[in-house]
Amino acid sequence: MDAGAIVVTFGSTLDAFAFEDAARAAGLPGRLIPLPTGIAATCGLAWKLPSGSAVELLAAVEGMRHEGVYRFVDNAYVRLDA
Amino acid sequence: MIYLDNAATSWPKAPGVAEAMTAALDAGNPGRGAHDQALDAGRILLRVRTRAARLFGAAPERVILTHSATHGLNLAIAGLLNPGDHAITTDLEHNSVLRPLYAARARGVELTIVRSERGVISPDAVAAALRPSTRLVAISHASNVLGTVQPIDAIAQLCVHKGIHLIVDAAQTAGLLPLDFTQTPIAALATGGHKSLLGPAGTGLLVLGDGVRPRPFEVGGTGEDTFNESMPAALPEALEAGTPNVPGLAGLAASLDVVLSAGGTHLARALTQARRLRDGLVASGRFWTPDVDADAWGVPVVSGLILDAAGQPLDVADVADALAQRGIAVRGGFHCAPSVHRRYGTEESGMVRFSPGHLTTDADVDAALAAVREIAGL
Repeated sequence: MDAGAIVVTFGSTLDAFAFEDAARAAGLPGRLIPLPTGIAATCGLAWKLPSGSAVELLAAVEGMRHEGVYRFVDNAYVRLDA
Repeated sequence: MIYLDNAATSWPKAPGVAEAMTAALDAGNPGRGAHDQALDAGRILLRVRTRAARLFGAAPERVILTHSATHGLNLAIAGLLNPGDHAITTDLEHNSVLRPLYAARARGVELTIVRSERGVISPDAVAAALRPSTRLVAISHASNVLGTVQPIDAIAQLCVHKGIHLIVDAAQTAGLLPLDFTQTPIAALATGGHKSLLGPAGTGLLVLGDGVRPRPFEVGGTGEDTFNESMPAALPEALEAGTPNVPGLAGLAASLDVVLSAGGTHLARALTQARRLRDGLVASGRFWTPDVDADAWGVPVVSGLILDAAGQPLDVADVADALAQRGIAVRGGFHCAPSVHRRYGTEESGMVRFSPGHLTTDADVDAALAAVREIAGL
């Protein structure tokens, strides 16, 4: 994982694909990836924003269901929305 | 071929269905991996859910992808009833409703079958059958033999005020008649994708109302929550064990686009031809059809018996075969609706069912009428 990348996790596969749809519509950068091993989540897919992205970008898809938001820092995932 | 068996499955399918299905053969397994092929499959499932959600006025996560109306009805009926509960159904039902209820009865559910009058179930008759233990009412939106449409709105209001789940079998109406969860308090609607939704066989939808949560009918892999010994908590995956029919669902997504853009015009065209057919058969003097409420007849299904010169019914299998030999596809038999035949005294003979579609033409109907007259000896 790229240092500084932001990862969004989901409670269901549907939520992951609905998020992708909304992200594309809103111009949010990123893509669906396999859920990183260091994160526990229900769905095996996650949305990865490019390294260095500001978490505020997620406001573009406000209201889309997700489980958690993490940043990869010092080889660990730090939850940003806890 | 003149195809008059759309109540069994529609033909032809909507434009774009075959192409979408072929393309989806290259898709992967949705929710199982994040490579391009797996993601493409997941996007196909999202397309089906969002389009079905629009059609029925429901949230996408409450659209459960099934392989048939029967699958969805089993899921809803088995998943909502417990031993000691009372359930109500009607004498107009297909075995897709009846058999899951008979199976529930064998597990200790009490069952009442409400009698129709002239093809219609009165809300008062449903109300009269209610008990304190009634948990569920299961009814078809339209009879697959008689073509009569049931007063779902009134029955839904009756049920919702008593906290009873209304399960609607929309196999004959989805894509033809509107049924919107934001307007009508239905607990669950089940349909196949291959009739008036114009999609492929092997697809179906179970749409759930807010707060309705049947137990899983099947359990297994979903691509999520691997170490959980039970199904994952979230809908829709909680009710979708196993790899879905991705090519079929791609076809259904394509057909739903066509249905949504048609905005109900399919019904008007098919019903016009069904009415011409019915009127022509009756005018021949060689057709018996059950006496139903004309105001309730609302889907393109015409069933009955072809009569000989002495007024005796011709064998329905012979009639269906004779029509098939002339290139006309109809269905003769019992149509999986045993109590309809008991009700109309056709449990020995069955009926011949003609079901035009939205592409049936005047010439098709005229040819079918001419063939029937010839078979009847006119």
